[in-house]
Amino acid sequence: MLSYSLDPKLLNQLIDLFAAFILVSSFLVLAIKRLYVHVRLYATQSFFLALVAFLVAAFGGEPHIFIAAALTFIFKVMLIPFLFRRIINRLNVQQEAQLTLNVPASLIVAAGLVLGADYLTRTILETNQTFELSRNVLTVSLSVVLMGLFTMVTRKKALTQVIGFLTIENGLFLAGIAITAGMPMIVELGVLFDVLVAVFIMGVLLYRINETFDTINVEKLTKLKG
Amino acid sequence: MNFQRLWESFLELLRHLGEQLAQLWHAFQDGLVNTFNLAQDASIFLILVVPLLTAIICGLSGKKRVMEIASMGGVSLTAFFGILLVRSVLAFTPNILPPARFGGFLYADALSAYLVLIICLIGLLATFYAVGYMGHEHSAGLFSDGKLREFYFLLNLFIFTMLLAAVANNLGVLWVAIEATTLASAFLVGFYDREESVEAAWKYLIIGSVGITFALFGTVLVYFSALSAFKSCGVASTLNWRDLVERDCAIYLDPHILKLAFVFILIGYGTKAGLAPMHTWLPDAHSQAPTPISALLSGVLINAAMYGILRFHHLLGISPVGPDFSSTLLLVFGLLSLAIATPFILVQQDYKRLLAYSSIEHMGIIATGIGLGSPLAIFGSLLHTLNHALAKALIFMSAGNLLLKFKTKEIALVKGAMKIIPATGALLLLGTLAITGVPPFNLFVSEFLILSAGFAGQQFWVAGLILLFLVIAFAGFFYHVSHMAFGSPKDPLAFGEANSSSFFPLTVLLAFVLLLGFYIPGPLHELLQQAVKVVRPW
Repeated sequence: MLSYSLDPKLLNQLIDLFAAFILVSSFLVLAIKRLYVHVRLYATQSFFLALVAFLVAAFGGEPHIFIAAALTFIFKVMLIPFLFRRIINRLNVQQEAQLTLNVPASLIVAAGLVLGADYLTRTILETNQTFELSRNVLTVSLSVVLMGLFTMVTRKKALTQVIGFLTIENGLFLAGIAITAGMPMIVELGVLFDVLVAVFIMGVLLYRINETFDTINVEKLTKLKG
Repeated sequence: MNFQRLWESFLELLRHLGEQLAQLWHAFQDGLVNTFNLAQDASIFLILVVPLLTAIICGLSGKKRVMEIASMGGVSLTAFFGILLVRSVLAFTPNILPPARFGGFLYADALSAYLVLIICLIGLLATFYAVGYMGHEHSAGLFSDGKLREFYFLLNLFIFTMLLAAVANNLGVLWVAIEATTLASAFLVGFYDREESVEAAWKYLIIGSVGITFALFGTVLVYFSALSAFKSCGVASTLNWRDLVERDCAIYLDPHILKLAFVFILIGYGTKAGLAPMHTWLPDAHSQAPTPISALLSGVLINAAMYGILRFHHLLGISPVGPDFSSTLLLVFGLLSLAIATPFILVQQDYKRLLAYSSIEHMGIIATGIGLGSPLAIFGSLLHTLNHALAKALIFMSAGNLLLKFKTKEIALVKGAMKIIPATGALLLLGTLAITGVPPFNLFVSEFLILSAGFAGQQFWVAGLILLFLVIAFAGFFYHVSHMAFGSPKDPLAFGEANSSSFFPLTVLLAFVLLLGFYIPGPLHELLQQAVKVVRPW
């Protein structure tokens, strides 16, 4: 049996390390402007997410997370980034993402968001609930959610908004693993399915936006007001 | 002699035949009753299977006639099973939870059955309307055959996802179903592929999906809290609704986490329910979608999202948090929605957007009514859900006929509807009277119930504010609609209706809107009262 063959302290440290990588990749999305890199960062983030899930599944005695880890790897590390690259190539997207807030300011706000997430998780911790994993992981997941939202608000390219949405979803997935050791299987699968379909639909809509507006700059979407 | 014997044997034969027939009849009756009972028993499952199959048929066939007949037949059958489901729920004695079905996957109590009833009713009428409306636009060459196939496929899928949300037992599956409603309807919102509609679809998809991730976070937090609560209780943890409320484990749920969870849930599902300030997608989506879809979005979808909020409201009420926390939040967001929607009703220039803002206003009234918290107010709110769905469908469909005729959504460009399309004009006026809560229409009754509950509960501020916003909305509505209905059209347009097959659903809706203004049928009253107990079990 794999269970408990790893020192729990070491396990937690490993998970914390991978969670840190997840957080860093969210920061990098805000710091770097090239769309290709955004896609690669998303794939990297998902890879570490799958690793965390794998560790919890293997050494935390929650075997049903193996499936979630495997699906995360197949869909989020391989399939979705692949689709994104195709879309970028097909639409001939201009590589530089346009920002409504410059990089240094974005990073400062992002740091503030992490502090806010830390404060929120502290209040949850005061409730003396037993955590499956360390509190750091919850902090990271909430930070990733907030930074994903922030990405969506401040980046003008429709494609970056989709990346932001997927980052939010990654954060939620991490939260699910971190504090509940995985949601019930059916929910896990349903959520993954919904995200896949959402990405597919967003992709199709991106084509339509490109056709009707000749750009995927969401700033041009201003017909509807009032 | 011979003749008499012959006669007797003939009579004997007749009697024999009669007995045989009677037996056959009894067997048939038994069979019918058995089939009926079986159907009633499985209705919770069948309401999901039928729309899904219909969607598949439409997606595979693509022939206009086949898709129309399949959709109308499918949705009628779904409505039939929906009524059977209501019957089966009413058959349970109150205060006992109905059993979960199909391996604990599906569950329907009075609240779910009530939502199913609304979905089925509006779904049925919207589909019948869609056949005429989309047929008209299709023959006018507004879109291709392939688009029509997309429409019917997604329409049935959309109805399926909403029904799944209503009868899902697991709170996680509820989330999956509500997110699926967004996905199924995104292309319907952007159906016409114009700049505006693509923009509306993108906003709808992004705001809807992101908003609802908050609800997922809330659900994760509830599950987290349930983990240790169920440990204290000594049973395995679950997100299944029935298990959460059946055993008395809810008292072990952690109040801090639940409060945080409810805030996330309210933001998440509130986005889809059109509560301000998360409502920004709603006017765009509702005005850009094809009219039958607008009716479904306004009448049904936002109620399905509200249903999700009500489930968690219940959970908080029976946990150590108590009902006050969530009630207050609902009250605040409800009043905020009223306050934000009403000015937009006054200054609106697009009549479909006008109706969309009116939906936000009515969701505000419903949320406020739930927030008031007394059984009477909750009864009024739940009744208002149905009433609003009916009246909004009525007025959206009349507005759709207007759009087919005038080919514009600008209020300023529409004049003299009563002169060239008198029937639609009259329905538009009646619909306006209904939606603004004028007696004897149904919305008057439910609004009156909510207001009197507010006054009875000494919450004068709340009731006074609702009343104020209702009056302003009334004035705004009448200013706009009278402009469209009366006078003479600017361009000489030919007399006559563009979509006369729409009068079947419109008449049915008008009948319901009037009937419910005078009288609430016994079974509906019973269902509502049991639903109130689901929302407010304490």
